Amino acid sequence: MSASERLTILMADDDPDDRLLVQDAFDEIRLRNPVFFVTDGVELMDYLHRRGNYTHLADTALPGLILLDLNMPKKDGRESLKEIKQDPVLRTIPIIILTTSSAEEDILRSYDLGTNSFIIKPVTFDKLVDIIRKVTQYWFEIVRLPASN
Amino acid sequence: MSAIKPDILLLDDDANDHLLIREMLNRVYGDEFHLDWACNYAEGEQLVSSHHYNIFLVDYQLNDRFTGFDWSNTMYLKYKEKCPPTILLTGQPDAENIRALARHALDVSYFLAKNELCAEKLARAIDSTLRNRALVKNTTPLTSILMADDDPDDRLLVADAFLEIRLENPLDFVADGIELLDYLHRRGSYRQLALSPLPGLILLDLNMPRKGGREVLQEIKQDAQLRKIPIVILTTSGAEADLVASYQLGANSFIVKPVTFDKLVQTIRIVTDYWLNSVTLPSAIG
Repeated sequence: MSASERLTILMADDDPDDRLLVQDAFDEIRLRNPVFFVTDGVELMDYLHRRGNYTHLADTALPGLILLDLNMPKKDGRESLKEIKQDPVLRTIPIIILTTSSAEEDILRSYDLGTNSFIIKPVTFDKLVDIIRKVTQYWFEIVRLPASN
Repeated sequence: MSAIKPDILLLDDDANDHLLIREMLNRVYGDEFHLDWACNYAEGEQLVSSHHYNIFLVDYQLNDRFTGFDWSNTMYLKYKEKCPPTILLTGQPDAENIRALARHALDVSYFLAKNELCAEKLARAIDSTLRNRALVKNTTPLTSILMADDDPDDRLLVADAFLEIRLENPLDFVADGIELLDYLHRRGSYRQLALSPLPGLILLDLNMPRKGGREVLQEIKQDAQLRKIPIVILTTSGAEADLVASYQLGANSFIVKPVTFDKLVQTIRIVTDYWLNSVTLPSAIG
């Protein structure tokens, strides 16, 4: 495996259908990276801080990329984004907001809080595969990630 | 005689040529023309920023690090459909040379040989160009991209890469951190941009004089107005320290400049496809 193939992609999304579709899209493009899912903001922060249910991950590398939905229960994506980008260790992990919301407020606020990109979830599976392909190509083949060195 | 009054910027390092051309225009147009003269690239840029011309008359063999041709292409990249057409004056009018130039010319309407130039030939070229020039279409302005890099070769290579992928979006350049901040704040020599939308994407080199990439990255990401603009670090340095520091300071991505032109084209293709077609940019709002 190349260095970038070892990086985990973390996806935070409360909708099981959306999680499944993205997993299918990753399979479609034959992605070799490990993908991990969390279903709300509390789980997301526990995972990143290696606490709660995730203490066993204490000595493992942090994810290389986070796909973050905005609308989640317990703690939503907006709040999670803010927390992550204010944390000195976690802030370097690139975050892609991947959400159904096309609200101007959400787009502007997300960039303001420091999201690396904002992508509106496509409606068809074909377009989702296309986006996922472009996302992985950009972030793993072109961009240099802080975790990869 | 053209119905449209020629409003010409002449870019030529030779003062005699300027006088000759002015005389020719006088003979044909009388008082019904406007001619400004720039003897180098920088003067040309300054004049263009404060006055809207309808024709560029450009000497190919400009005695500058850029040819008149580079200047014309750069103006086209910057202003796109708002850029006036260029009439290129060349001292070497052999067919081979012309064909080579034509392959790369973005918006050159005529090539005129300097040694065969007369008032009638010049006027014919000008009138025909102005007549054929379509009215500026009222299209939605495309997202513009801004590149900050102190190395003129790197700037030209990236400009060439954009040409290669035929990207329509305006591409603008600044050469250091101070220019970058002036540009974004629409102040100093960039006051005239006050009514134009901010760039949708910034490509930022780290190693620049006067104010380096890291410092300016930090400033931009701390500015309430400017922080939303995605910044892609595009730099020769692959050093770990620069990489981590950039993400720490809020850079949206970090890319090491490819060494070959082919790889650069591929990179620019993927970068622009990602940011312009896959991502929703904050600039897309209002």
